[in-house]
Amino acid sequence: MEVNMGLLALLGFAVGVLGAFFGVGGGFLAAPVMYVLGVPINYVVGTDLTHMVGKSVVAAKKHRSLGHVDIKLGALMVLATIPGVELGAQIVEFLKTNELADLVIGVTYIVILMGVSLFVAWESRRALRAVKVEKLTAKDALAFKSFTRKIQSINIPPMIRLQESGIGSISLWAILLVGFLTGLLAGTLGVGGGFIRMPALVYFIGCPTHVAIGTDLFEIIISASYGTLTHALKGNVDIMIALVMHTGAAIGAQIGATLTKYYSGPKIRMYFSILPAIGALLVLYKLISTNILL
Amino acid sequence: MFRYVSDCKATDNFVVGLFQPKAENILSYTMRKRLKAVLGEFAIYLGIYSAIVTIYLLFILSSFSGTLSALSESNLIIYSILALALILIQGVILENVTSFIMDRIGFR
Repeated sequence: MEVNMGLLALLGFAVGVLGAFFGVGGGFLAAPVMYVLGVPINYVVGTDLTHMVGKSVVAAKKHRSLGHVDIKLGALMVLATIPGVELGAQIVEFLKTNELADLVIGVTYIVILMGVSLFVAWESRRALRAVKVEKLTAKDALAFKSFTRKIQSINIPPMIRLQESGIGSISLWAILLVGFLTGLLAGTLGVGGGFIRMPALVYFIGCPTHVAIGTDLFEIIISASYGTLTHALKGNVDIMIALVMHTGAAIGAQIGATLTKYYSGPKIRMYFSILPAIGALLVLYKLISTNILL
Repeated sequence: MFRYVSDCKATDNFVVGLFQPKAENILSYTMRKRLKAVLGEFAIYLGIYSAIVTIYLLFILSSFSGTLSALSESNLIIYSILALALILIQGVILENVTSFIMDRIGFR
């Protein structure tokens, strides 16, 4: 196969900046572009996951130096995320026996991502307005606290303290449930899940946005490493392409992670709201162009 | 590690102010100078880091592409472990090397 190295590195750079700034893997953007650049379809997912490992390590290290990673929370979430992803994959296999599987998964994907996008856009705008009107500190202003408070008030032992996230007490089961559900969604929709998990950490668990970004990247290291090994064992990873992409991504991740320091939580969330909408539009385009929809 | 960012609170507050424009955000000469220093140091760090990751990539491409290609055909277990190791080295060690060089040339 012949693939342009410069363009791959450039793609890695773009995904690196976005991933480190928003706390996502960026697979929704990287995978289709890799395919367009000539990477064979069977290598796209595995190779993308491999470059994601390196990029997330660089970004998470940077976020950790800024105090934005809650390792305890990330490790607990990932324990539940992986079984969730596996169950999601099984659901997809089950749905594939039905010829409407692509349509059902595609439409669910679009509805969920557009929902996430609209909600985050609405909430972040309200939070930014609250910062102006009520003179709140911009860093962690959140306009949607009622649900977060309900989750934090679930009193099923063991209760744990998340110092890095500033959460005094939360049930372990609440964390595992959120981890499992986000994993299930990610596995069913066939995505890494960064753009579901980051908002979930903010709105469900109650993490400050910056900590949610760093913690999500930490989780991506573990889940993408797991994905890399399973895909590589099936012969679906081209390490050379991953290294080329990671060269750009590592530089981009340095810039993206450093930039988060200069933006408030609501501002980051407002910009973030565009990402799931792009993901949804890409899937809508795919459904229409392959005549699955319309 | 790239420590100057977290070490210098005053500079941090100033840079945050830059991205959140306010009426009182009138730059003094000292602040401008500081910003220049911060951005300059970050640019140097990024330049060294970019050079190191590129050298690492070229070294792997020129020295191991044949071996890796053969491994992907013959032994997927070793290939998988090696793939993960090569990416992790690029992610972890090269940054430490850059920080070491920054320290050696007098930037902290």
